[in-house]
Parts: sequence; structure tokens; C-alpha cells
Amino acid sequence: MKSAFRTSMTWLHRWAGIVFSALMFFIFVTGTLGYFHFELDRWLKPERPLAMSLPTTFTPSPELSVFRIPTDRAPTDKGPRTISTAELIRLGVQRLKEQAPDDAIWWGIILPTERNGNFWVEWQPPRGEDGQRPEREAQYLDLSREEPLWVQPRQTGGGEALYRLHWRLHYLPDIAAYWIVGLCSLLMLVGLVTGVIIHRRIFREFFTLRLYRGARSWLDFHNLSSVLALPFQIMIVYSGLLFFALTFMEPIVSARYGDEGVRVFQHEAFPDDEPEPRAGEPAESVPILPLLTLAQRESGQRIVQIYILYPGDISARLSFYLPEPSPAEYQGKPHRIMYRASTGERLEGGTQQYGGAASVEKTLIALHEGLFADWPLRWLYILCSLLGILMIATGILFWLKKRRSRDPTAYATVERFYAAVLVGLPTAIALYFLANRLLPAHWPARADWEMHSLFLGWLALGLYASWCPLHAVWKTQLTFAALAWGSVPVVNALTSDRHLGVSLAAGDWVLAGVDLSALVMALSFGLMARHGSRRSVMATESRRQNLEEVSC
Amino acid sequence: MLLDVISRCMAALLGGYALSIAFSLLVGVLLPVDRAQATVTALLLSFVVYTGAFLWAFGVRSHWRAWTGLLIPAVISAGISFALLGHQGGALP
Repeated sequence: MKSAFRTSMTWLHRWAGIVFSALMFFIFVTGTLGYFHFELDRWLKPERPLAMSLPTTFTPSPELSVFRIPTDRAPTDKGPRTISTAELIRLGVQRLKEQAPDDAIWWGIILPTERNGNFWVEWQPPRGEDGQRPEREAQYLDLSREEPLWVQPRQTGGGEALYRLHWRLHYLPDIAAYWIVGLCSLLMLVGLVTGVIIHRRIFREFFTLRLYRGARSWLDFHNLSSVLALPFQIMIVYSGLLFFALTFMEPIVSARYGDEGVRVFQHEAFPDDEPEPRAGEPAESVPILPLLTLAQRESGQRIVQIYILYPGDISARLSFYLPEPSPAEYQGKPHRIMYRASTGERLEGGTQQYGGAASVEKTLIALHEGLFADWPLRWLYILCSLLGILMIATGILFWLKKRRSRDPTAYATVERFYAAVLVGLPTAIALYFLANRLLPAHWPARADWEMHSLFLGWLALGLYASWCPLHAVWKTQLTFAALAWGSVPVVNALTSDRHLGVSLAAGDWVLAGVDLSALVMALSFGLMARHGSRRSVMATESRRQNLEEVSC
Repeated sequence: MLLDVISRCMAALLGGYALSIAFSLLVGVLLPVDRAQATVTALLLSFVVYTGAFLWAFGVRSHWRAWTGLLIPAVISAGISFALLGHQGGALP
């Protein structure tokens, strides 16, 4: 016997889950892509060179730390070509002096890491006359030819535009999207907590898996995928809500700060080092490399990002960013080492000295973003996210199948809708990747149309699902998904020289990983389409047998 | 039945919102930490209280209890918070 309380919690779990289920699925799928957004960026910008191999040992001297340059041509008898950090930085500074406008707000020099693989420079152009801040500009160094070549990749939203979807919903104004995604996350948290309450015998049910039992099997899958990564799901939803804390819970801040406002609160809770303003007096910068040696010796870590604020000014600030610290080290560990660029004087600060509660908040945010995660941990993030996606999908399917078994026709429209959501969305994301390769490389509006392709493609899949015969709706959607993902590596091979033939030969696993993942997606959807159709064939055959028995 | 459900939904959304702000604010005011840390603590706590409010609104026997059980503590928490804040000379909206 269920108690009245657990009955009401079951009701709450069902409706809190189903009301926002499609949006939750969208947020989980697009958010999961975010854990690989640097990697996807490389694939989405095929003009970028292949990944360099990192130095195997750490040395503070940039002259001695050496990268190996990949080549997509036949190996020469000169042996592998290499370049030192010092040489890269010299080339980068020279390029910035030539290309960046004199009044650039900052310059950035980004050294290759395991994730981004390339060396590049970037700068922030000043605000235009309309007061708008233009996009930062970036140029990548290609060393695969005799002469160093700077390349500017195609205009694309890249991996970032994809993962931004999960809280900005693209077409909505920011504030509206925050409230919708925030409310959805809150109901998701309610769903997780009620889920634990109603599954009192959580471990027994965890080890229960009944296959081919209709709705009951979906419930077992739902329990399995939920329980496996439950702590992760609670962490990800709760920390996700914290991003909206200032939007949602603004009255708490205004009760304590009144007219002083949110800015004062942020300065008090999360103190940051205020840079000196631009003096307007030009001054040469001291050489960067000796300071880099000092900073690397001081930190004992390889510096991967160098930024100069107000370059060419007497108050210019040179910041060496350390690799993303793990959450355990978030409090008080230097985040960057700073110098005054005109004199080489070491500047104080750069540490994140937060109070207790603020450290907890920042740690949860860091856990959500997983920026610190190395490869094994990053894949664990992906695995847990996939389980979250499965949890949502199987929950929907259980709800649907249970109702369909009572009345097979009444839920036809709902079934079509969920087929277009659960399978249509992954297909639409494949269309984003295809649009990235197929839209003209120099078309100014191409970044916008990549995203329009995703949503128009999704709409088209939805229309098709609403029109095609009900018994074929899942199979056709799954087949489309398999075809779309399967064509990603093929179209890539036809339109770029960053395809599997090149990336595998060069051992560039990050780049190859995107194509290989697309193939795995295609294969999975293909198997699901085939498996689903075989089961429906079995169902018709057994029905025919039944009919024959009856007629006999 | 439908009115009961709508009433509980509103209680969870609005009553829960009021309680999560007022109660978290009170905890922040009572903690012996500076106002920045107190505010962050309250923000962290607010979503936990909001989740609890949903469980309350749908778990109790009548929708009237859902409302009273959320609003009465909210009003009391807000009252004490503002009294203490005014006493300390803290900011008031």
C-alpha cells in the first residue's frame, strides 16, 4: 500500500516531469554538447590547422618547451618539425602589432592545449560609434607549410552557439529565456527529489530490468538511468539554477543592498582586481618572454593564455593565466599572474580570495561547467549527461506507452510530437553540422543561417512526423537521424581537408573524434530504426498467426 | 478537483517563491557573517526552500493548508528579517 503522501508525490513527479519534458530534453541535449564545445569548434572551423603535439615535460623556459608541428603531407626526410613556445609568442606578438587596431581593448595569445590544439592570437576591437561591442577577432597560425601562415576561419557560431542554446533558447530575449529555463530547472529538481521519494525501494528497483514488457520496461529503464547518475543530475540541475539566482531571487539582494544594487553585492561577494584605467600615454612593453619564465617558475605550471589589457598604453596590464584550477583548489589559488607591461613590475592580486559561501557558489558553478575536467573526467561528464538524457526520454516514453495501452488512438498527436522531439532534435543538430560545411564559406550571414538550419530542419521533421502514418513515425524519424549523422563525416570529406583520412593519419584524435562520434550516432540510430521495425514486424506476424488460429 | 490542482500550483509557485525569499533572507540575517556572505548563503538556500515548498504544496491534505503552510512562515520570516535589518541599520527596499 502506498501512503497518501507517496501517492501525491507520484502525481507531482509525473506532472512536474511531463509539463516541461520536451524543454528539459532540449536543455540536456544542447547542454551536453557544451562539454565538448572547444573540440566541436575545431571541427566547425576546418580552416584551422591540425593539432600540435604538446611538450612532454614541463620546463619554465619558453625557449626549451617545444611543440611538434603536424603535417598533412607526406613526411619529409627532415624528420618531425618543431617550434618552441618562445618562437610562437614572438610570431604572435608580431602579428598582433600588424593586425590589431591601435585602440584594441585587449590582445590575447593562446597556446595549444590538449583540447584546442592550435596556436592563435585574438583581440577585442573597441566599441563602435553605436556603442556596440564588436565580436572579438581571432587568427590561427598554420605552420604546415614552409612559411608561417595566418588563417581566419569561416564565420560560424561554432560549438559555443550550440551550447548557449541550453539557457538562451536562441530566438527569445535573454530575460524571458532565463525565466523559462529557470522554471524548467526548478521543476526538474522537484522531479528528481520526488523521484527519490516515490522509489522507496530504490536499490531493489535499480536491479530490476524487465525487457519486452511494454510500458513496464520503459519504467525499468527510467529507474536504471536515473539512479546510475542521480548525484550528477541533482548537482547539474541545482548548480544550473544558481546561474539564475540573481534573476530569480533578486529580492534577497535588494533587501540587503537596497539602492546600492546588485553591482555592489557582486563586488563585495566576488572581489575582482580592478585594472588601472587606460592612461592615454603610449609606452613600449617590456619583453614578454623573461616575465613568462618567471611566472612559470613561480607557478610550476605551463601558462596557456597570455592577455594584455590596453596594449601600448603606459598602464597596460599583462596577465598570465594558469590552467583552469580544479574545484578543490578554487579558493585563494592564484588564477593569473600579472605584471605592469610598461615596467615589468609584478602586480598584486589575481587570486580568487572568496569567502565561505561565495567559494561554495563558485565551486558549484565550476562543477556545472566542468572546465577543469581532464579527458577521463570529461567523458564521465558526457556519460552522466547521456544518462540524464535517457532518464528524460524513458520517463516520457513510459508516460506515453502507459496511456497508449489504455487508449491506442487518443494519444496519437502526443506520440507524434514526442517522436519529433526525442529523435528530431538530434537530427536537427546534425543539420547544424552539415550546414556548417554546405553554406558558402564567405557568406556574411552564414553563422545565423547555421542556426536557422537547425530550427527549420527541426520544424520540417515535426511537420513530417505529424503527417506520416502513426505506425511508421518512430522508424522514419530514426532513419532520418541515422542518415543525417551518417552524412556528417561524408560531407566533411567532400568539402574539407579535415576529414577522417587526414585526422586519423595525423593522429589528431580530437578532430577525428567528432567524425567518429557522428558515425557512432548514425550507427545507434540505425540500430534503433532496424530494431524498432523488426519488433513491429514480429507484432504483425503474431497478430496474423492469432488471426489464422481464430479462423481455423 | 481542477480548482484544487490550480490552487496548489499557484501556492507552490507564488507561496513557494515568497517563502524561499523570506526564509532564506532570515537565515542570512541570523548568521554571524558579513552581508555579502549572508546574501550568497541566502541565494544558495532559496532554491532548496523553493523545492521543498513544491513538495509541501502537493503533499498536504488540502489546498488551504498548502497556502497557509507557505504564507504564514513567509510573513513571519519577512517580519523578523526586516525588524532585525532595520534595527541593524541595514538597507530596506
